[in-house]
This record gives sequence, structure tokens and C-alpha cells, in this order.
Amino acid sequence: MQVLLALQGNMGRIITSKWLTKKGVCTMEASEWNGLTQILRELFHARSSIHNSNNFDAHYPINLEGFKSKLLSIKDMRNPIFVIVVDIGLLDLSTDIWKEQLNFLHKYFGRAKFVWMLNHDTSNTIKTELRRKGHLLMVNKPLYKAKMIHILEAVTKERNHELQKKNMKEGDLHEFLEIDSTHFDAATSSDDSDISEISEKPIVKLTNENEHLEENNPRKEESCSTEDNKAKETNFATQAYDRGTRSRKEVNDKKSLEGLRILLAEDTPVIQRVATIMLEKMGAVVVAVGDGQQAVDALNYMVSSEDSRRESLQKDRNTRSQTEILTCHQYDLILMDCQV
Amino acid sequence: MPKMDGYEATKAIRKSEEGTGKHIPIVALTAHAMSCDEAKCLKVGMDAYLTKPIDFKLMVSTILSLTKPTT
Repeated sequence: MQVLLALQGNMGRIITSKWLTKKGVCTMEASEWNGLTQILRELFHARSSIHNSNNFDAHYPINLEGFKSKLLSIKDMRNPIFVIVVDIGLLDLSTDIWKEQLNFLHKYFGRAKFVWMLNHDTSNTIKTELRRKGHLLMVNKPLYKAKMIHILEAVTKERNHELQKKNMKEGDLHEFLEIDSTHFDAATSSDDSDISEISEKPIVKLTNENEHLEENNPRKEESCSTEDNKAKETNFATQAYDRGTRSRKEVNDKKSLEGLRILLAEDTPVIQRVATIMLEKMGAVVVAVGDGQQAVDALNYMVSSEDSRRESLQKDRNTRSQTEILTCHQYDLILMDCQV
Repeated sequence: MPKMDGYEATKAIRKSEEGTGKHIPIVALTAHAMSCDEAKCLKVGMDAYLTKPIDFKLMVSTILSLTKPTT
């Protein structure tokens, strides 16, 4: 597999490149448009006319020794897969030149897989244009290792002529990552990523996602087994975990918490918000309170308000609808933060 | 949490539930993975126990396992 990293920003590119090389993936780097075009020409035109290999030194004098040797090693590969990661910033977006640049790249479309790195503010015109041209692999910056792995997996799969099409536009990619990542799904979606990273503290960085993924199952088993060893008082939890394991399959179903009312007692506003977003995504109705006292009050109020519910029905509609949300329904579950 | 922590809140909730026959599932969220904390959580009447950072899948499955039988 051959990866061409056409990314702005030296640090990110070098780190990714080093990492890939360590994993046995041959990489090449370009930092701007001209470098990219040059490498492309060398790669593909040279391939079609290997005998001319002496000539192109003259045409492109910037050739480096390392680059040449890489080029040779690529030629030695029998059936290389080319993956070209292109930073959208490489194109000249201030004018319409990017369209021509895109057309230029499109010539190589059949021979290499293009992956586009988009900015969060990349305009829709560009996205639609890319999609129209059949570039479906688009991810938002920054390029995490986990994302890279997914990209490479997707490319390899596609190459193996799997029928299932990897339509990995941003949204899909997020979902895709969401299913695989075992912690805080929000960490991968662009909107929430900042929040969740803060709340999770540096212990679980997104770049650790894969390790985390592997760690997760043993950790869970561990917690189960320690529970088994414990006395009767923990039986409760063991059962809960066992049932949890069984119903794990259902987790992937969206809206699996549909109709549930959850009271969330959590004092950190960030975690409170993230948890609320996550649970609401699953279809649950979340009421968040910031304190144990408030949680108790909310519950007590709920009980007493059930009696007075009928009376309140006759009251002003607006105030009723507001209080109703908070009080009139029974909570199905409480998520309780333990710390003071 | 500033005024009342989760343990006390759970105790209070369980107390208020006494005699009503209700049992609202309470899931503990804590940064401590220590087993003594877990024991404490369960002792005050919590039903399950999750450690931070919250594993989303585990959380959802725990919630489901606690709510499914009742709904």
C-alpha cells in the first residue's frame, strides 16, 4: 500500500508519515500543490513509461535521492494501492482555480484513491463538486490515527471488490467511528469533539482509540469477574452487567432508549451537556440537575405533582407545558454522580 | 456535587420510596474505579455502577438492562 500525504502543516504530516512508515506503509509527502502534481506525474507517467526513467530527472530537477529510491521500490511492488490524502487547503480556494486543479487530479482518479481532508468550514460547493466527481472519502481535519486506519481499511475493502459501498462522507464516517469507538461517541463527531475531549481529560485521547477499543472488553470482563468474587451485596450489579452484556447488541440500534425518561444528576456542566446530548441522540428524554438535593427534590416534586396534575391541566397552557416536562412523568432511571 | 452528593441523594430517594413499592433504578457515575467505592454505591441502594470516562455503549446497555424489565 502506498500513501501520498498531501497535507499542509509540517508536524501533522511528518508524524502521520512516520507512523505509517513504522506500520510498513510506504508514504510520500507533499506540502503544497506543485509538489503534489509533481509526485503524481512522476508516479503515474513514470509507471507507464518506465524506460524513460532517466529522462524525468531532467524534467523535474527537484528530485531527491530518497524520493527516487522510494519511487523505485514502488515500481517493484506488484500491485500497489495508491491512497492520496489531499488537504483541501492545498487547492486555491480563493479563486475558481480549484475547479481546474480538481479536474487535473481527476485524471488520476481511476488509478488512485483520493481521500479529502476538509476543514470544518469548507463550503458546500466544494463538497458537492467532490461528490459529483465520485470522491466519496472525505474526512474532517484533524487527521487522527483512528481515522487513518478507517480510511485504509475502507480502501482495502473496496479493492477487494466488496459489494458494500463505503460511502464515507463525513456523516457516515462519524457514524462508522461511533459504532467502533467504545468510549464517548461524541469524541469523533466534529461538533462535540471539543467538549468531550475536555471532559474526558487527557487519559483517553482520541488517538488512543484503538488501544482503548481493545482494552475495553477485558476491562469489562474484569469488572464482571471481580463482582463475581464479591459477596451478596454486589450480586445486583453483576446481574445488571450480565444483562448489560446480553443487551449490548441492541446498543447499536439507534433510538434504543426511545421513550425513556432519565434524570441526570451531575455537577460538571460539560459532562452534563455531553451526556445529555448522547442520551438524547438515543431517543431518551433527559432532565439534568446539578446537585443531589435537586435530584431528590425533582423526584419528590414529581410524586406530589402527580396528584395535582389534573388541577394543573386547567391552568395556563404555557406554564403547564413547562412544568409538565419537569414533573409530570415518572423517571425511568437516574444517573447519579457520586462526588461531592 | 456541592450540596448533596450522590450517596446521600440516593439514600434520600430510597427512603422516600419506602412504603410506596417503587424502585427507581439509580446508576452511579464515579471517577473512582475502586471496589470499595463500588461497594459503597451498591450499599446505599444504587443499582449499577459506571466509571468515568463514560463508556457510551456500556452506559446505554446498562440503562437498557435496568429499564427493560420495567417498561
